Amino acid sequence: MFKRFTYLLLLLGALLVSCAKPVDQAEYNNINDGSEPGDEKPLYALITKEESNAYMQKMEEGFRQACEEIGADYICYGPSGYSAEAQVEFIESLIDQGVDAIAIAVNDADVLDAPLKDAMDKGILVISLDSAANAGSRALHIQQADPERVGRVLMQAAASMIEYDGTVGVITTTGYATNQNLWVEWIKQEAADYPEKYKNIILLPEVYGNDDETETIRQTLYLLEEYPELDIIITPSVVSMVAVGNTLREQGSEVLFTGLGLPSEMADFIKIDKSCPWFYLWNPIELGYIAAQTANALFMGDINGDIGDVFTAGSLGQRMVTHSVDGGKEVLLGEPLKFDEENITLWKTVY
Amino acid sequence: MGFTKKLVFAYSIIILMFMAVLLGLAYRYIVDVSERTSLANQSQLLQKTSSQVESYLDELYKIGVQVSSDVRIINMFSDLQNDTGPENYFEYSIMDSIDIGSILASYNAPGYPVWRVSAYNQYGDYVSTGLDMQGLKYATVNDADTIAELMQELKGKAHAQNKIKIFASERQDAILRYTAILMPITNYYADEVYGIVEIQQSMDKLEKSIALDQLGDSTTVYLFDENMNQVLPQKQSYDDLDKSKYYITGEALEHYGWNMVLALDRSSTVKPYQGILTYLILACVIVVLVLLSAVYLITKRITAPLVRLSESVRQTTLDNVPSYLDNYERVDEVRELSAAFNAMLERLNKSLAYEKRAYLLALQSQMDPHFLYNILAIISGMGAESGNDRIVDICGKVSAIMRYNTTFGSGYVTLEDELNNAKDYLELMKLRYEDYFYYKIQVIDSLKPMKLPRQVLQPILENCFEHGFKAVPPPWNIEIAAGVEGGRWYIRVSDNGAGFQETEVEELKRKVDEYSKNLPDNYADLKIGGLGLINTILRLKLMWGDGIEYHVLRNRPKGTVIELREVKND
Repeated sequence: MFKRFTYLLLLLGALLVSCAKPVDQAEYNNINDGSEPGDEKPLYALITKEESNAYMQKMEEGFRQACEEIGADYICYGPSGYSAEAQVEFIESLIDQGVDAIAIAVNDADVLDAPLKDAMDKGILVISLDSAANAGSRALHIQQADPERVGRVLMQAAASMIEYDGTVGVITTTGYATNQNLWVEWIKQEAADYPEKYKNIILLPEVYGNDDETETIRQTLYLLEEYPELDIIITPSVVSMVAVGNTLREQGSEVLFTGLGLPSEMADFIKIDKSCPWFYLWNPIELGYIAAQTANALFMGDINGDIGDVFTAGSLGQRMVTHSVDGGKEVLLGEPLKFDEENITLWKTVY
Repeated sequence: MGFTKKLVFAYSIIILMFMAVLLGLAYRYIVDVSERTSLANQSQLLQKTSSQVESYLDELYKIGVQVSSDVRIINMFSDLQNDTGPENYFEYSIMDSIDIGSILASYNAPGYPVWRVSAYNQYGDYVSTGLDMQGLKYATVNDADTIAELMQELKGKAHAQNKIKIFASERQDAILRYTAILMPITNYYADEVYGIVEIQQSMDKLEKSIALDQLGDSTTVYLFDENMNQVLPQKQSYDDLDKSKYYITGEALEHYGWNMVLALDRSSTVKPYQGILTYLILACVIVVLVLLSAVYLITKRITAPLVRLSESVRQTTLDNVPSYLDNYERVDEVRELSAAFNAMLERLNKSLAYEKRAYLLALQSQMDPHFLYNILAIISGMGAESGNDRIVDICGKVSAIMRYNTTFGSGYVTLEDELNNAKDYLELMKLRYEDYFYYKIQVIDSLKPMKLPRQVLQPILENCFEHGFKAVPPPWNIEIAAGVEGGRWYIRVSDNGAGFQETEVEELKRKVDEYSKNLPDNYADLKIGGLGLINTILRLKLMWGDGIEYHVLRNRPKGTVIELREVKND
């Protein structure tokens, strides 16, 4: 009799486990809990900016890869639009699930400030990546590349492409994306710092494509129409790079463009259209990877997240916690890479 | 110790010695084989490991060749030779930094086959890509003068096949150990070196590639760079190694000038064979035990008949002769031995039967005279009472003769005894026949102690009266002569009786021959009372065999001479 009762209990348990698994799968997410019940694996979560963004998907790929290497469980969420509100909901859900760490690419640092602080109060480690959360609502930020160097090189590259003579337009994303905002700042700063070098360059005010294809096309058409003398467009966003390239192609425009793009999406513009002489980007897979490694180093107590802390970020070697420009702390991924006709064929297969 | 035990003991010693020698040889063989195998394995391992190290360095070298021969990098560093300021050009020229960094990254992509690729010159210009190692931001050599020296050194190697310099973790501030290959950024035509390309790789990867952890405790790999500085392992120094306890084999890497030494713990080589050795010893012990048991059983079985035979022989005395020995032995020799022994027993039994019979006869012959002695004593007494001395004399002589004839002793007497008895007999005959009968005895003194069978002369003398004198008138003469002729003795009894016919002599000889051929069978026919001439001759032959001959001769003018004569085979 007792035996039968035990079997019944086991059966019920098994049913419960199998029912619990598909929770939240309506959203773009992934829960890896292939672990045995009862063993204490850490659970790390990633919230991307948007679920269909190819760059974000690559970042997520790196995050998962690192979690699997570490032996951690992971959850990945991404809103269907670049919505900070949707991200807030995810954060609340993750707090309820009792995750150990949240890595987030914020859509709006201010909107997410309170929820992230809330999560931190509940003992969850918060790190941001790609675009930074406010210094007070994160433990660390994973800086893909020095924003100054990114901003300056984009200005230098654009000027070099038009031989330091002509009109430069800038299409950025939203006004709330901290990373894009910083880059645009440094683009302008570069021009301001070297007036002699850029004396024949006219830098137009930036326009916002909201990381949305339609809006980016609209803004591109606007720039073409409004500034017929336009020679080149700088766009520091993976989404708008493709939209700008396609629009220029459709318009049969001679205008060039550069910025931050995914090699896998940019190969034709480089090799066939030649509308983009070269562009820049870091490895988004490595960005996701280092975020999970950093979260793990913090959770495991390898580092406290203080300035000067050194830890091993898996296969990416050793990293150090440094000051960030916003007064917080960050871990730097490295220099961006330049993609041109020489190397695009190689890199388009990677990301 | 019985001979069974002796045999078992001897065999056991031989088997044990044999097994000990066998075991010793087997051990020696196993040690040899294991040593040879280990050394062969070690040599293979050395080759494998050194080729793994080579391929590890090859990877660095290949990337180094690609980077150092990239035209964009050569151009950049060629240009940078004109910018002799100490600041890093790539710090402020972001675009060129990313440009060159991306070229470097392309050679180290995807997934960083090597740790870090750097390019730099003596003026502090430095660009790199790969894993960001704290403390390894810059190159292995990072002060301007050393870099300049190194560039000069590499310039000398610029046309060599391996225009490289290898470092293994020379920087003490490195958190992680690494290996670095340095190659010149050079213009072949101008014979100039513009900078250095440095390819760094993790030492962990080297350790993993040669699978140090899989070599086991008994084998240690030591890797040395071209200056014989130890690269691996990190914790054990080769100098501390007790070389006498290890097989040391070494090899120089084909390219790169590195050296590899493999140290194999001597004690470990036999280890894999220890199980076999244990089984071998166990098997030997079992085999020895089985052999010893077998030896014991077989020896016991084989020697059992001998033991029984020996037991029988030991127990056989004249008082206890077994009639027959069990004859079921399987071993031929023993069977023959048993058969021989049985035959001997048979003969012995027969002999004993004769002996018994002889005793019996003797006893029979001894029994009768007592009555006669008593009668003779009565007669002698009566004769004395009646004053007849002759009766007394006769009784005395008869009694002496009887005593002589019935005494059972060794069976031998001296010639003198025999002559005394003959004289008694002849005296009796003289009393009876008085003047009809004369006798004479002539003997030389030296013959008197000669040994003879008892009753040799009396039968011959009786024969004279029974045969010789019956048919002839008196006087009858008998002469006994004993002497030596030609160094041989003779005894001769002569009478003047009727003499023998030729046919009678032949008959006598025939009978003697017949009896002497089968004496035991005819023994019973020779009645003790009928001791005649034949009997006498036979007994003499029994004593002397062919050492005596007898002759029946005609006496002159009449009568017979019976002659006994010694024969000497010379």
